[in-house]
Amino acid sequence: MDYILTTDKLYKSYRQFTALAELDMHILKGSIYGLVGKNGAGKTTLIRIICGLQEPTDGGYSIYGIKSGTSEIFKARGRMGAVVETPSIYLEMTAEENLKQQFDILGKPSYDEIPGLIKLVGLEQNSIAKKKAKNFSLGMRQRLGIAIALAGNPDFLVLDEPINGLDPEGIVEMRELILKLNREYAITVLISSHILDELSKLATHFGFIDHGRMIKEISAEELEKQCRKCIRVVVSGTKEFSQAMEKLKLAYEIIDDNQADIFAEISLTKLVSELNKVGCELISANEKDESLESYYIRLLGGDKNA
Amino acid sequence: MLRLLKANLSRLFKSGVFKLAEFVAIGYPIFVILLNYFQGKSGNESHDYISDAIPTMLSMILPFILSVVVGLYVGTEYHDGTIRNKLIVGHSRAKIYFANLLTMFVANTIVFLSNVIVGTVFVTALIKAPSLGFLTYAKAIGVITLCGFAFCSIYMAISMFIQSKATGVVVVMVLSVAFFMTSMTMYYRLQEPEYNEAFTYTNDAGETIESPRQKNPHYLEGKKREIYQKVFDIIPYTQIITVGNGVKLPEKSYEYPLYSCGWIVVSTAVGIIIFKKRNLK
Repeated sequence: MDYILTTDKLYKSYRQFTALAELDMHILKGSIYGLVGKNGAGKTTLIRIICGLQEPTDGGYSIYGIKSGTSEIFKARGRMGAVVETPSIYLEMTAEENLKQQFDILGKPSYDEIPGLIKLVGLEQNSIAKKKAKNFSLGMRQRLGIAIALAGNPDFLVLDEPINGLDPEGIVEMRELILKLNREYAITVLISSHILDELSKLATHFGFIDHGRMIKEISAEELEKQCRKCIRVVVSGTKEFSQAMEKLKLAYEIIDDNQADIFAEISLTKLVSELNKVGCELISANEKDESLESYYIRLLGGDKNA
Repeated sequence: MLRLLKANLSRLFKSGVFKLAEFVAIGYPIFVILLNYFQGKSGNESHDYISDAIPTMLSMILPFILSVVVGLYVGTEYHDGTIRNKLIVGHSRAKIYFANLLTMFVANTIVFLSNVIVGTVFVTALIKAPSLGFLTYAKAIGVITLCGFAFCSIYMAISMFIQSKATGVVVVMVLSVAFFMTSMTMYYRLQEPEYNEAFTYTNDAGETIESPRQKNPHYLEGKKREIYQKVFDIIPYTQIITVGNGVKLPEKSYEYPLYSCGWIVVSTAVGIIIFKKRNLK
């Protein structure tokens, strides 16, 4: 396997708080890796460490096979780009001036590639050219942030919550841009997001992180196989429904007072009969595919704060 | 590091605060010279003395100007998050720090030298050419420039430690005021005469009373005076007060650059150690 990034028992603590606890992660070359986790799970800490903004307390990571802690890691980082949390742009400069800054930082001999980059991220309109970044919308700032991250022609792009705060149109444009970068420019992407539905449309691989630990790494194909189909039932009361499910020893999840999901193939006659015994009425039953969100919730043991 | 320096300088020359600092550096001596020129023309008083003081006059406010320039320049990197762009693409923290420090040295040199050049040209044209020799002048400029570097290093260490732009600027500005107050207080303590001179006065009854020459209780003596003098010499603001105030180069003019270099080395070492361990957001 050709990995762009691997972490080995990565550990990070801030005084008493453990942000990352022996986290192992593997990002395949050419993939779009979706990092999934609730607030405070350690996603941003992980990204900050990979980007060299923070040092791990213990453990390490490798970028393109080069281990952290060696002097070569600085060179390896030269092949990556990132947008961590908010886009890193000079607010008093225009998009072109911001890109010129980054080209200087990278030591690029000319600014010839700048118009192409501006066009790639969709900031080529004349009305934008003279605008300072402080007058940009959030979506425009995100796009400029990505353009800056792409200035060094990276093979690996790290995007931390890139669709946060974007309007629906902006989300679609961002998705298309990420897919274009991955498919046309062969850029491996690590993307963290809370918006699981959006992530499911992008990622080829997923990493589920909770309390600083990697709970599971899975490819989109495997995930699809593992995403169990379920039966969404509407009943007169989920308390009685639970008693029946416990008796039948079936996996289930309560949605609200009247709705529940059953993760098993079951005869409806048997189900109705068992519900009747506990005084529960079955109002309706529909087959339903499990989404990334419900898979995630199930993986984390019912915690719905994704 | 040259790449970082190039990027930093290009940002510096576009920065509004640097342009403002340049405006003050050039405008201040022109204003003072014109004021003295017209006062000299309209009155009998000679304003020729200004010709030796003008070129280094800015040095008194140089530390304040630098605190704003350094605080805002470094603070912007944190505020806008752009320091991340440098780290992510593989620049080491030490290189980033040194590139920022060198950029501020350049800013200090440009601001101060433009003030000296404009001041010298204007004062020569309108009032009188400075009477001090070239070497004395060059030494004074050298000592003050080094003092400016020392201030840049101190402000840089603090600004790289504080990630909030507003807090960083306020802290370095307060520090520059604290340096100024400390220096001035010590300056006046050291200037206290050893004796209060004898004097006579007439009381209400019409008697003439003679007060003998008395020992000044505020006069610093012995070890205390030595310590005061040493601390006074070490504070960079003191050097600016002593040298910049009419270009009076002290006997110990060779010590001053050494003290400035000491400040630069110590504050840069501390700054880099802190910056290397800093968790950036």
